[in-house]
Amino acid sequence: MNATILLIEDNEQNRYLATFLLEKNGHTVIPACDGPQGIEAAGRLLPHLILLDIQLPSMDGYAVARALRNNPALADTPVVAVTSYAMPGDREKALAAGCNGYVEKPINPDTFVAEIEHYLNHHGKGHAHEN
Amino acid sequence: MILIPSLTRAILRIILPYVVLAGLWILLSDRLLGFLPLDAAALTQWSIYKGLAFVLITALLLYTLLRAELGARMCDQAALLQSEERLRLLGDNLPDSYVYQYTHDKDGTPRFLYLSTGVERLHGIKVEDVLRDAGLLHRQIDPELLPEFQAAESASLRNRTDFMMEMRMRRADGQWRWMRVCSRPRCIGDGQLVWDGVATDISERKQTEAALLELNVLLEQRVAARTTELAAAKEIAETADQLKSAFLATMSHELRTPLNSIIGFTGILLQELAGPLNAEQRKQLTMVRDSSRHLLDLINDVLDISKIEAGQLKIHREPVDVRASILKVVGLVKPLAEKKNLALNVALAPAVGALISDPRRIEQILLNLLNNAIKFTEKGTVTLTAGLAQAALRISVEDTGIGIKPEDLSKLFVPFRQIDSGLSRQHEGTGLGLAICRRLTELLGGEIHATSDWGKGSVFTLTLPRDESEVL
Repeated sequence: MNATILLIEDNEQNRYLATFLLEKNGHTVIPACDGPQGIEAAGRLLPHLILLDIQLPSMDGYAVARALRNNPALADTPVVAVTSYAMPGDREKALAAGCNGYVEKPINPDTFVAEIEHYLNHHGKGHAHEN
Repeated sequence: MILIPSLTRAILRIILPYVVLAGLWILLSDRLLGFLPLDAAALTQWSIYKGLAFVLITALLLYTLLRAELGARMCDQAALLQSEERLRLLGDNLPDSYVYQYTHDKDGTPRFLYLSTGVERLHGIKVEDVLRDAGLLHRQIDPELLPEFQAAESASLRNRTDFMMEMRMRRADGQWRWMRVCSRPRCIGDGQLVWDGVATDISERKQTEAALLELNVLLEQRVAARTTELAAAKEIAETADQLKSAFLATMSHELRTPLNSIIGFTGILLQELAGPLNAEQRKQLTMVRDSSRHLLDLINDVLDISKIEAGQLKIHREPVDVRASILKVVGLVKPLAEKKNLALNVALAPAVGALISDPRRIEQILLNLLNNAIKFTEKGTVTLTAGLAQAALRISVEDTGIGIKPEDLSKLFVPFRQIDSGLSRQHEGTGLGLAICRRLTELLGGEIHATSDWGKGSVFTLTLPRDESEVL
């Protein structure tokens, strides 16, 4: 399945890494460098899935997740948190903010794509506009 | 009024005996004379003697009776005086107190009917002066308390209830004293009331009370001050704790972000997604990947132990299927054992079932123990045995590896103390695994022990309480 995935990640190398892995596996990646950009792109492009870094400058991932969930057009779009946080309660906080799942950094390149595709298959297809 | 009983007594004791004697005399004496053989002249003579004898006997009788009566009267008088004296002494001798009787005249003027002499000691006014003018005493009351005094007195008058008041009074010598005055009213006819009362100097008690009150206020101030200090200290501690948590989170993030790139891109290269690799490139990149994974383990372990030390690692108690947990962990390490051609045996007693604990932590401990056993064993077997011992679950991991020297056994569970620096290069590890195991075990309310035969193998034994109530 060829999916459009919005990647909200401020670290350039991490963005490149995830983009490379996903695109090599046939998906289309829309990059966004911070929360506001990501929210704007999500509303405009309605991707199949949103990968969301939690530690972002100015607006953190929890706030971004809540903002995304406030958009009815994105109600069925899976949001997967990608974060290096491993402090107690982080997982619960991400889920409470509206994320559907949680992938811990550092990502495992051997399993990362399969994990993301799992969320794509289990949360239905979004409303991506095929351009 | 007092005369009535004594008159009755006089009638009974004097007049009645006289009437009886005189009556009997008149009735019987002439008949007695008639029995005597006397002529008329002699009879007249005898009658005169009889009359004289009557007067004499009567006088004697009256004398005797009067004497007895007067004696009794004097005795009564003495007893009365004694009783009065006793009451007076009692009233006058009351320590720091005096007793009184008090009334309102018909026109409403207050008047004392009686006062014991204590009033002179306590108020500096003579009893007779107060008896003449009750105002002398009333004018000593603190003017501020006068309305309260008047209200209390009218209430007692109106409701016929006890009067009770503590009042500040200024003695004749100018000294202020506290008096506790209480009295009970009783009716003496036509609506007039008399209060029987006692007044006591309570200045010392008042002073103690005031001192106590002051002490209380002081204590309250001190408690408030200390509470503020503690709150500030708590805030500082909490801020420090938050800083520590934030530091751990940041450090974890900052260390993992570059690792994310290293592990990620090495993985991509090894997957040959970016192009084919030759054998040497593959070998070196595998080394990079293994080292970065080791670094990640190290970061995870440091983070774990920091979380435990900071009290941030929470234990989530739930029913644990021990059997399933053990098999899950064994499944995870099985590839490692197979890679080294080691036999991995599992012996679970049938009684091993469920207990209340934290499954994730139990699995973390077992994974550590099994990884260690496989890591330090070159040939032979690694055996996991689980069984029940009294109220505990006991899981042992036994290996046929290099073993531990007796002197090193005690250092095993200390952070960053991997035994023998020579070995640590060969057997890569963070040196934190067993320290984490011990701390986790303690959090679960259990114990962990190691025994070893150097050169032959080691046994690590984990004991966990089965009943949650035994774990605090």
